[in-house]
Amino acid sequence: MVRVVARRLVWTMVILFAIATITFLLERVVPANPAAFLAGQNAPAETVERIKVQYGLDKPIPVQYVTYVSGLVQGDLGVSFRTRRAVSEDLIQFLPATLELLFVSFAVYVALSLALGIVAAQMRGRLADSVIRVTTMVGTGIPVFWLGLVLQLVFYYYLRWLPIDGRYPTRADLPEPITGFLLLDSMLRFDGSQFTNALGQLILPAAAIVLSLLAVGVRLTRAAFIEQGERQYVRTLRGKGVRPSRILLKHVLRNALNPIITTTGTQFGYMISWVVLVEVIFNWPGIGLYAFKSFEIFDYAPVIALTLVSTVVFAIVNLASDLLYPIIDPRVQQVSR
Amino acid sequence: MSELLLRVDSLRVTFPRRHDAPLVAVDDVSFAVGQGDALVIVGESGSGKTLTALSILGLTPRTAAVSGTISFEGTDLRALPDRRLREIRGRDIAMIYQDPMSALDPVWSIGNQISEAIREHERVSRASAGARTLSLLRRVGLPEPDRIARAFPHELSGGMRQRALIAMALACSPKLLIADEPTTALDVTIQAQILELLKELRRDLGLAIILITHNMGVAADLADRVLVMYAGHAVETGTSSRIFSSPYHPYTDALLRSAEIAGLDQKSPLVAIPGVPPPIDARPTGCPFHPRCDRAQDDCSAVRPDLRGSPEALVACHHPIVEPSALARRPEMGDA
Amino acid sequence: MSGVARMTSGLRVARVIERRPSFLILFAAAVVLILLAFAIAPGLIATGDPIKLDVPNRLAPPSLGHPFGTDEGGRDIFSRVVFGTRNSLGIAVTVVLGSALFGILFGAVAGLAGGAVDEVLMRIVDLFLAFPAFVLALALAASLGRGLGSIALALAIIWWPGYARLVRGEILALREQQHVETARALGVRGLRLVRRHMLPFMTRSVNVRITTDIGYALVAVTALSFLGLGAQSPTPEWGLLIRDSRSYFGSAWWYLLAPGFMVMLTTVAFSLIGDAVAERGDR
Repeated sequence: MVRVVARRLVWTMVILFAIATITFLLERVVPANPAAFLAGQNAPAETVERIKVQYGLDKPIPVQYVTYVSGLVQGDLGVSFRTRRAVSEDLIQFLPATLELLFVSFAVYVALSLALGIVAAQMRGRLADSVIRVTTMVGTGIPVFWLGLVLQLVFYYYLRWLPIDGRYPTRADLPEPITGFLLLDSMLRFDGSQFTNALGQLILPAAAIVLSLLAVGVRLTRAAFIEQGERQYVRTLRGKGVRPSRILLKHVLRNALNPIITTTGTQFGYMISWVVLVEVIFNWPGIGLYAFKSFEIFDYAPVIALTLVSTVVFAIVNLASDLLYPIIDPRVQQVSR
Repeated sequence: MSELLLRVDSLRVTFPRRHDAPLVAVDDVSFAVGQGDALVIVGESGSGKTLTALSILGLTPRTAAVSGTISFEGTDLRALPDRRLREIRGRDIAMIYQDPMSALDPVWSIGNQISEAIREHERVSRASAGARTLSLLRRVGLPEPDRIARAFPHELSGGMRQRALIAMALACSPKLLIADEPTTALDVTIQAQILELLKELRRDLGLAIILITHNMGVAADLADRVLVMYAGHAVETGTSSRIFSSPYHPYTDALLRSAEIAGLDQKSPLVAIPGVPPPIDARPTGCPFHPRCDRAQDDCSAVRPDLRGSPEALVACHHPIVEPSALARRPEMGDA
Repeated sequence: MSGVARMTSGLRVARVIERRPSFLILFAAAVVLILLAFAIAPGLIATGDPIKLDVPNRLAPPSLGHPFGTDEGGRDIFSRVVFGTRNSLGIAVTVVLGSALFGILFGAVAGLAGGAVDEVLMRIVDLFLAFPAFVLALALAASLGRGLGSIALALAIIWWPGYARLVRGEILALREQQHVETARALGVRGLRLVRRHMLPFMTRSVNVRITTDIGYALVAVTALSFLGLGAQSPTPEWGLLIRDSRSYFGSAWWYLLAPGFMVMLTTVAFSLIGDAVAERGDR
């Protein structure tokens, strides 16, 4: 088990290095004029020169690489000329919003896809099953950003039920952050109105993300549960007189988890990817919106940093899910690819 | 036969088809088992013996249509609501299966699965169930029960798994154990051990056993009474001693001969019964065995023979090897 | 019967194959054909000029003359959608076909070579797959400069690893097969081996993948354009149309719904076809 963890950690290190290399290439090698790339489209010539010297862009690539990576390790992610701050500082400010959106969406996604998938499997062949399957099939085709906009159109512009702008209603006072996670903060403070305010703003963005991904999750859960239902051990359990709820939630669920975990990991990857789109649409002040606002005006360091951070988060999630397999299934001796 | 435990009357298991006549897997099978009895149901694959066994506890596939009466200690099992049936499953009637590896849940420990059987039916503490699990494992002849209890199914050998499965079946001291080909998937030496275990348990616990097998040798070893099935029909029933010394039905006779020869001399040619059992969707008219029977005559392909003879010795054959004595009629319901 | 009992199905009896009504397939095929027509001959189908301004007519709701209404410049949205097919779907198809080609070759080499070569090549694939795809595409597109060409390249770069893995997996499985072993024993090697003895068996899974990927690629293309990295105004492109529609939500709902609906329709159509191709092979 320790060997497994060690191997995964080493691989994760490799990935982090690869990320750094790729972002390096994106920043310094790929663009036609790296200095202009980093200085910004409309920067005057002196700024470009200054940038060139500051980042050592005239030095040979290997030297640049070393300085770049050592800078990364120390937390230097470059400077955003839009905010005139170090990107790392900006990220610290904006990261919690993104993480909160991600976590809530993910939690809802997991809960719903499991619940609906189980129901569809149980109601196999009946109306409920068909309804769930048809609606989710359509769900796969809807692009997340369009879905978000349509949700806005319906629930705000026409129904005025839900807000669409930002993380906290503009008329209310944004309270002092404790953890940076508004839902958590409000719970720590026992502040009901803060909680509902924050939750209300979360609903539509999270819904856009969850609905786009739900289809796959439901179909997979349903298939996994049906497949497990064919297994002999289920017959043994029924023959033992075990109640159906226990068969389902203790035995079938754990056996079905393997493919579900794999796919859920991939889904989380999509979630991370799409967070940019959702933040842009809902004006959600996370790292996605931050990067977007910057690259709109040709300030590219943030977008590179965004790639770095998202990949690191994704790598961590993958590591965690890889480590889950041996835990849920005692037959798994080591992680295989 | 001692006090009646289970009575199956006119069991039929069919699989309805959309545009065709239903497939008949088990056709009008009846038998009874008393306290402490050992009934062995013998037949080749496709004979319907497994479905018969599964019907008792209502474990047939959802596509199967089951009819007939299955009464256990006077209660009609088929009429019971799920909740009541669940009480009987695992507690009064338990079942073990052919392949213990697939019969057990691979992600939970043996001990957990056995304790689960106990705690599903009795309100006992986890510790108490755990202790009983260990003694059950010991009872079925497994050394180091605490190690086995913590182990997972894939960590045990086939024989040990089957013993564990038996332990799980015995968890709530059932009165009847249904064993569906429990030795088929095991090595020959282990087979003998498992059979010995079953005989021992029957002696010590007064357990009634219904054993399903295709192996006449197993039947000879364990049975009080035998039910021979072919292509979904019961073709002969009787006491073990009578069947093995003087079989009525040509099929029974053929099974015996091929079993004897297979067991006797390794060098002599295997005399299998020529032909194969008919597939479920292509059953012959008349007697299902007639295409393979060397005693077949014209009426055999035309008319299906009914079971006839005395209640303890029935045969479904127009021209049996030995005519069953006494009453040439099927026993009615209500007969002792 | 409890749900658990219902979940458990037949032991020996043949399962009823759940058949999808075939009219869905016909519908999907029809959609694809229409899109093909849009892409090949937009001028013949579109009712108006996609680029020319007609300001007095701006933000007009759908009508006979303008089936999808008009945008803020008075341009016919339907025409813009039709002309945009080439830019949105066309790029998506290019991305998928291009990355499939590269990925298949890559995976074939890895699968055939085996050993260390396979290890190394697959590690590279794993590396690419370790990135959240869209974010990487974003960064790549930003690096490469704006425009459809950049996003095409960016997306192709993130898309090929999937095919490499798929093909390599298939080849590994096929290698164990009887007919392949026989062929190898007879001396058939390398590319010839793949082409004659493996390709016929792989085409189904690859085709299914390509078909469904076209839908996903389309979503990615439109998403990148939506963010401003792909097509630039006034090029008609579905993602760009959605982006432009944002300012006019309150007054022009058709502006948002038309292009988005096209994306959705296209993706569903390709998914259906992909599913059909997949199921065909299972018979």
